[in-house]
Amino acid sequence: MTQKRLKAMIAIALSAVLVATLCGCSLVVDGVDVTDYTAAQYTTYDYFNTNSTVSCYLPAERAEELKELWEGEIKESLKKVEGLLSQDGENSDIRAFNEAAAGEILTVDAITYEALILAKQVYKETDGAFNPALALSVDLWGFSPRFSEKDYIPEKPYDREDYKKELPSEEYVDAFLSLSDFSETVIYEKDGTYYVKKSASTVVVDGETYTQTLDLSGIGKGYCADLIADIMREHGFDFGYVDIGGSSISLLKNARREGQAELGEWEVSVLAPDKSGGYYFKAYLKDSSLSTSGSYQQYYEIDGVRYSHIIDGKTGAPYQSDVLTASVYGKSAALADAYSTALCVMGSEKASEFAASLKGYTYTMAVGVESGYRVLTNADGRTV
Amino acid sequence: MKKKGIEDVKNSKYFSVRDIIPYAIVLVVAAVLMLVFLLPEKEKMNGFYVEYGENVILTYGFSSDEFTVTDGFENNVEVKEENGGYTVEINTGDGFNAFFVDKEKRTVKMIDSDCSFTRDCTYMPAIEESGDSIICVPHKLKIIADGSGLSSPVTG
Repeated sequence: MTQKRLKAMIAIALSAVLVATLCGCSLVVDGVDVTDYTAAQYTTYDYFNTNSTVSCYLPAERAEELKELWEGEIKESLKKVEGLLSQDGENSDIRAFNEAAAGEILTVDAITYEALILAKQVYKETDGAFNPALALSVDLWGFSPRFSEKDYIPEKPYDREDYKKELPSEEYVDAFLSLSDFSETVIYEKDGTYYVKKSASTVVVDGETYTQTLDLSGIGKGYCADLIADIMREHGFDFGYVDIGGSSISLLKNARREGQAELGEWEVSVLAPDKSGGYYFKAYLKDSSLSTSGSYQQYYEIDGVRYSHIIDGKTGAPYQSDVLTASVYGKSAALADAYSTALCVMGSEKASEFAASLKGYTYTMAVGVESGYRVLTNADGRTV
Repeated sequence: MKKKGIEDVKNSKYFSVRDIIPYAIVLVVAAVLMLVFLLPEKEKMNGFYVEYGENVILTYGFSSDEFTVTDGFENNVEVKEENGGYTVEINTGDGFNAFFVDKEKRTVKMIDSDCSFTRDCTYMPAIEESGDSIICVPHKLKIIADGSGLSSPVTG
């Protein structure tokens, strides 16, 4: 064998070794070999009037364990949080608050207390742009859960025959706005028990007395997404994500390479606010949470004006700012949900300033312009 | 080295084509491996299944071109072959949905729903990659692309 041929054989042998090595290479994310991880996904529609989905990458031999966790602790947590924070649950603290007399003091669960404290925090930080005490206004404008029923029947004094064609009366708009000062409701803890003292304000319209009512559904979804992600981590399921209705998502790590994201990151697609089915932003995140609010999904139009489900606490009517949709990314999906709602209400100028000042949270906003929308962001990702 | 040998070396080519072959193989193999391992893993879906609530009611495979309706749901599903694919209509106690299966593009798009609100699912992009999904929340209906991966999160 000539020397040259020997060299060629050695080179081929080395490349074969290289091939064998690379083919056998594993995918390691944050020190965990996820090469053989398989995917599992569970969805339920029983809570928050939307889908709750757990998506997970896991070793195949732990599939049954995840299923048991889903059927047990995770669903129980969804049921408990929704039960406490919904407006119509049998044992709901929020229902009890809404039905209580003005000024009444109620004891609440620790979860309700925590959600109310978060709501109060964002209410103060945003100068009322996020306001959970607008539940009556949400109902007045036709966006509470009863309106999504197919067999909606007008039953309240302020209901219209066709709420998508007729605006509510100014009298009710003003009356309900007068009950929306959330600072009048006091939340406190004493000797390990949690209390809420309801605002003493009342208003009478058409002979009916109204008191302050709360809607924590937004924060509730974010709260649940965070809670379930924590449950998954506690049980050693570190790869996947929890999605409540697409508006609140808590991310673990990714076990696949994806898009332009770095190893372990998820590429989160943010829907464009034009119902084109396209996306306007791709965010890259892991071990993080996000929430999105906007005016382009739940809305109706009367005389060319869009009326969405987010109520402006300054007017008592659906917000009319230039922010079509806002997403906030950070540690807590519950806070992100409240912040994203506030950004919509604030309008792009104030919202950009406020969002930039938030520590540990980034944002994207699609702001309406004549030609469609423009994107404002300080998040890690790319505009599509 | 003898003078003749030195002259031979001087007159010979630096390398022949054959010398390059092993290195070319290594480069090609490295490039292929880069593509396989370093580029994102996105596989085209081979089929899909439809969940109603927590039950799978329908499956379809593009290769076999066959629909399988789960026992007990035969009266809820209607498949019509048209426009180079299938229009699938699903009627459940929760409502009506229709989606189109494009056989050539291997995509599925929700095209109709009679939910009372904003019909969000009909504005969702067509699914085409492993793990992608479309959800119609009011009707508890979900179309999920087959595959070994999860869909990327979508928010909106």
